Amino acid sequence: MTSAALPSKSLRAASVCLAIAALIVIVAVLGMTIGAVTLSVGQVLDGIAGGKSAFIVMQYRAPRVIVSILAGASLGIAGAFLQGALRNPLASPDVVGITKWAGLGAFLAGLFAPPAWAVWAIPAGVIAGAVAGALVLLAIGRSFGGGIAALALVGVALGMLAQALMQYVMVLFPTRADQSMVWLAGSVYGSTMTDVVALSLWLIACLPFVLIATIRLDAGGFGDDTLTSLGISPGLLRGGLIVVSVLLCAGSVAAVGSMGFLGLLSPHAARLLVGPRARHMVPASALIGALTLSAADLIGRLVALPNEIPAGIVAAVIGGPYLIFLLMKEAGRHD
Amino acid sequence: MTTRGGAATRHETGSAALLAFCLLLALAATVLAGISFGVSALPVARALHLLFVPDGSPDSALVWDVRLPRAMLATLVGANLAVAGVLIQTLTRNSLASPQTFGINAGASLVIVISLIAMPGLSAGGTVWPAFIGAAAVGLAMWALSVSGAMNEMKLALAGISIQLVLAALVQAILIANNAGQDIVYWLAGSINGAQWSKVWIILPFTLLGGGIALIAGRHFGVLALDETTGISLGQNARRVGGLAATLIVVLAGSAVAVSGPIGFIGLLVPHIVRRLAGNDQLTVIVLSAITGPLLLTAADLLGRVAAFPAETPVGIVTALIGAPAFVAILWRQRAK
Repeated sequence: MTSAALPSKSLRAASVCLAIAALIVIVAVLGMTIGAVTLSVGQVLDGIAGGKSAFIVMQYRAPRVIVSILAGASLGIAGAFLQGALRNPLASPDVVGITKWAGLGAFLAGLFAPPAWAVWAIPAGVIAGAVAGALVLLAIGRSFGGGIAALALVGVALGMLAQALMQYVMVLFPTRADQSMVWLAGSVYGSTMTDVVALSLWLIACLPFVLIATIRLDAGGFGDDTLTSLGISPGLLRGGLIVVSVLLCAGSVAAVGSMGFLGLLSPHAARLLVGPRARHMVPASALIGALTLSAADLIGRLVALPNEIPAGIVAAVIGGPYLIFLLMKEAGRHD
Repeated sequence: MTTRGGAATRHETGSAALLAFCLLLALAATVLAGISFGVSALPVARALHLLFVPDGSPDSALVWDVRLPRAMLATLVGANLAVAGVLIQTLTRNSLASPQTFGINAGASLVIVISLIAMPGLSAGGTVWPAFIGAAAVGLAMWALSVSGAMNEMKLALAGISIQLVLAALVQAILIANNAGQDIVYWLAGSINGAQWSKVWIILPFTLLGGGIALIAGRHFGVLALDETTGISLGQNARRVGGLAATLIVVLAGSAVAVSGPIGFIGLLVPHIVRRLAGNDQLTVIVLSAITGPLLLTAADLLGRVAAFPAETPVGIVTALIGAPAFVAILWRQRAK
């Protein structure tokens, strides 16, 4: 019975993932048609193959699309791990303010490090910010006990603090305000091949940890006592998941700024489509994150021509109502 | 027993009056400091003199046309937000409620921005009506969530903040789409930079009317904290009192957003500070909040002008810098209960 059920579930998960991947490809190609010069789908495909529009497609449009896919996928996985580690369906890095702190770290590093060091200073700033945000949250959150909303509220308040700090620094250095707006709202505008390479390298470096964390994630659903009796150290398990989540979140923030609500939305949608098992849910969550972010960017570029709405704002408009829906659904449970 | 209770009440009233007096003194001192301080600083004595004897000099114009209207605006907005905060916390029996955390400020802000773009000729005074519509719409939605009783205090506050975040994102999107990106901080965080008398005249009637009614009805709002049956047996109509409180919240918060953008955390923090200082008597809390709100907002404005001198930090950013950690502290105390 179980042996028959398992392959069918895996099959279902695989087909769902394939379908989402196909959607991502469609959104990506559509995304590459839009810009100062509108290209047809045929011209885009021709450009990818090295034809007449190769320069515009490969230099400008492809990097943007690839960065949105990679960053969205990292956020999707980061959300799945953090929610699993804390056993809290609301705890994604973007809800609890970790992305905001990472953005603040990036902005400060960009501001105070000498320009020649920016290549290293900004990623270091992102990681420092994300780690600081996560540590403060966990330190405060520990004493709040089980309530899922309490931790989320503390995180939201900390995120508001990071945002206000960033706005204050904006006032101090008005000439750098444009940059900080990007860190604040999240945007894939102006992504280059360098961003693609940097983010890819970061994700490749994280991949082994992501795989280990995915294998371990299912155990995260158990209580600490059960874990101990299974011979798993709860602290190590949850700590490890949190670390991987923070690292992935830092990578995406370094590339695209603090995107709202993708890390919240993707794991839930994935669980709905392929069930809660980590080896199905985590890849699906990554794909949904990638799809949502590239779609958000596409929508943001279409709705207000000739202006662009940053993808992070579109994502917040899509994801925020989902958080409210989730609160209503979860209303009776978890205290 | 009765005498002792009566004496205690008189004693409490006396100490509340003393507290009110001290807070008023602090408010006056902050306003005076705000009028003296600036890129061209005036000695306090000269500022005070010019306040009572305007002499037509440039300094006098500075005091009367620039700094006094700003101080007045901060005072009125602070009073509106603080009293609205007391009322919404009483009405929803939720100590995390406020015009900001329940999305009411952001609702007002969004509808104003839409109206300004749809009707470019809309006067500053005309923005109060869209503000009321936006505040009332979000208020109704939150009220519906609140009476369903399915969510606890924290979940309701989180839902309200989510609404606020979504509406703020919409405000950002609309402003960017219409090439008005420079207004983003004003319509997201709120500011009283460049305040003028015209804005003071816009909000003043609503402050007087809303604040006045809140004071007169103050005793009755206490009934909202009781369950309905007890209220009825005391001869109170909880529904009518609730409707009045809701209307006052919309008018006070909406008119504040219309003149200064959605300044946050005043409505959340002030009732907590006041209850800590003076206990839970509803009328006392309203009166003291109407003084503490202005005190906090004028102090935050002064801080914002000092902190990045000579640049000015919009007051909404300062209140967020102070308010966000205080919000965490309130959550912390909430947990202890």
